[in-house]
Amino acid sequence: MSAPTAPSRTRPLLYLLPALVCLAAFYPAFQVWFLRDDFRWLGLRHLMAESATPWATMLAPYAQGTIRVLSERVFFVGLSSLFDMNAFPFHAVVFLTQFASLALAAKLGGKLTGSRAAGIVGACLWAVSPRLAVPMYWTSAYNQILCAFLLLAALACLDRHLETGKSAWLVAQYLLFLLSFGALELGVVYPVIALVWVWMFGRDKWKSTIGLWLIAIAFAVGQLTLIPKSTSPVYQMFFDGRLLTNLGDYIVWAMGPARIGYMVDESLRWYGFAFAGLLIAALGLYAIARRDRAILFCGVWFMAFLAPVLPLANHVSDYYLAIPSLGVCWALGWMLTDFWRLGHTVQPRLWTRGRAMQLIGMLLGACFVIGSVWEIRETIAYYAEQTNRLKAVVQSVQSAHQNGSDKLILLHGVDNDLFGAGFQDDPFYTAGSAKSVNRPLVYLAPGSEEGLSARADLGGISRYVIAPDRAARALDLDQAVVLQVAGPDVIDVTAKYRAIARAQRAAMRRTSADLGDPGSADLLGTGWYPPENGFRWMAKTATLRLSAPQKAGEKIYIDGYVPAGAIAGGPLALTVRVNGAVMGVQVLTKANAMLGIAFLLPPGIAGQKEIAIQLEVSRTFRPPNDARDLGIILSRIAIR
Amino acid sequence: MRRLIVGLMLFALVLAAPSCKRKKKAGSAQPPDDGKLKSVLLMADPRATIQLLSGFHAVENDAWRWTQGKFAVSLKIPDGAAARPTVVEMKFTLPQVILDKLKSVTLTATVGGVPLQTESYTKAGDYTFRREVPPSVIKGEALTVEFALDKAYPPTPQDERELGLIVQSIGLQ
Repeated sequence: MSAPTAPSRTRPLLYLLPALVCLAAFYPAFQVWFLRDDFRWLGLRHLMAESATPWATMLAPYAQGTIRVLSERVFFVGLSSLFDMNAFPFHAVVFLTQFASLALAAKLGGKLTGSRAAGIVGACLWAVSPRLAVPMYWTSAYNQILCAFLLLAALACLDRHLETGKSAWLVAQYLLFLLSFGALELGVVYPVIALVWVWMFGRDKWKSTIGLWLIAIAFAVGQLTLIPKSTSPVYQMFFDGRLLTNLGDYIVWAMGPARIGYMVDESLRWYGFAFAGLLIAALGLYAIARRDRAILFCGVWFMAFLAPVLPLANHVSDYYLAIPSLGVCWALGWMLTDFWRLGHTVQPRLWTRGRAMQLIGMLLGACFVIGSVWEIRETIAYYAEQTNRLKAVVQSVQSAHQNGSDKLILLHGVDNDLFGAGFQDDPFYTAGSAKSVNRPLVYLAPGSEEGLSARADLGGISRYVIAPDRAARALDLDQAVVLQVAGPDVIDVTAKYRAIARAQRAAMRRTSADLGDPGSADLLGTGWYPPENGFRWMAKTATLRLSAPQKAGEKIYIDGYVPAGAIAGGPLALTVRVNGAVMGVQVLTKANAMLGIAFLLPPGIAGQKEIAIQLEVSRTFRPPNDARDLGIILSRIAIR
Repeated sequence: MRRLIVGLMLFALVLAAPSCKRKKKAGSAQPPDDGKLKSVLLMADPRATIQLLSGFHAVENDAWRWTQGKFAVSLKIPDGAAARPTVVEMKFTLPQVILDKLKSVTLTATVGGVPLQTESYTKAGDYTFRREVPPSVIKGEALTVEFALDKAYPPTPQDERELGLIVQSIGLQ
């Protein structure tokens, strides 16, 4: 390992290069709005405002039992308090943090390999790694970015301590290490990294890592014993053969654009795998040829940060490689820089082995960067489109709820991509379009939920399903708005949909009437008083229409209540007629008693569209201080 | 080193170039939605999607849709329908691949909840299903028309959709 030799005045600018490359590759991430879990974090400040114990709400474990105070709670509550649902400041913080990490990665990579150029190239490769795409566009994955920064900063402080012997750097390392637990639990493996670094650059100071181990062990024990574990199968851990298959997948995915077939086009799948295979072989041969401890450190970095997530067989996610992939990029940067140098060392002929290695290095580097950026851009373009569609829907719902309106919103035309972008994470509550998370006002138009896939562990789709009858009733009472999602646009189609809902209701078989429910009013004819607490009074005669039975043998069921006043003058006869024919007569004699009677319907009416029902009592009564002529109380009439 | 830095800076500039935008699908230009219900639904018409209540898959070839075994639409009652016979008409294709598997299919329809006469099909081909609508259901602005096949092509590993008919249009006339 040779000493870096660049003039000191250019040094700071050199470390900005990876940031420039990162910005060039990832700037479309600024076009992405919020996505999935973001809404839960954005809604946290509303939940805190509703809660009697806001701090307990803020620090309650989420997802797999995590409490990431800095990267999730402070990040989202702080920025959303200042900027509400403006995504730009969130992305800006993510980018600035990553810029700092890239500078640290370049610096440490230079120290590791003994080549400033190798460090910068390695950091530039990490800057375009597709495995950073998710944390760069999805603000909920900021934990990866922040954790990487805190741990790289801790390692840089350790390095300065080893170089200068000053204890202030050691204290700074410990503080940064402790802070990393507020970003991501992955910091628990940092002592391994620190130990290997000390072994490489200051073995006599190995005791300075003991405290790190004690903190890590205490954190792990606390995490295992004090934090409630998630029961979701998504975060279940498996210690079996899947550890190896997951490791194999992660190694392949770490090789730049290995997932280009999945992210861009299926036809590119084998190109991605072939390139990954080529890169693995090249790195393997290079490691054997180099036999350097720096390569070992790169491997330890990769494995240490990957190991904790390997057992999550149901949650194999490429963004878990955001931090581990730096180990691969450092090694790759070193290899490509060496290949580049080989082309300049021996030049007796135009075509030499050195020049061939230089060319191979350039090709590998170019393929890595071009493929990676292609994959990044396609991935981000997809999420930019979906999140902006969701933004349009959320803003349309907000507009409909302006001025305190609490109309129901029925959404038509929601597809799986849009639904999956965040519907299950309460974006409407987060945006203030629901008074409470438990009182939803936004639904899918009846029937339009068909074919949508929803995660059962997030509550399934049922919270967005509304009965056609309720939707039609709300539309009739002007208590609902229908919004149609058409591509990127959201259109108000309430008037059009109202007619559709009425037609659906008319076509629906309605075999029961809940008489206390105002929604049943359209089934009723004459002789009814307004609904009261779950029932209606009938007058001497009352009529209604229900769908006819579908088969012979069905009955008409009448439920209600016989008040004392109704039979104060003696037994009362209740006659039930269907289509004018008497089905039966029930003589009521018991006062203050529940009524529950049934009459068999004649087989001849089965198959008709509907039947006309008439109920008649033999006399009415007037209670004190009531001018109405009352028969009896009825709660439900049904055919079955 | 200097050349490497210059190279990296140039590379960053190249990366910063906007990526190729995905080409928008060239579809035929549609007139803007007039906000009114339609009596005849062409399956490819995006303005009609709100009237496709259930059981339809995505538009294919800008012309038709596969249905499931059960599907339903809402149709505007044509002006003057109360004064003359109104007919519900569905144009569809019964593909050979469906009949190879199912041998025959029987189509049932209900309009406004009233069942219409069923029809069975044993040969592949293009068909028009036409039935007169009972005058008793001609009221209001729209009618719900529900269709059901006695059998449907079940989902397979190659195509996870349940498949019924290939429908081009459904309407009231």
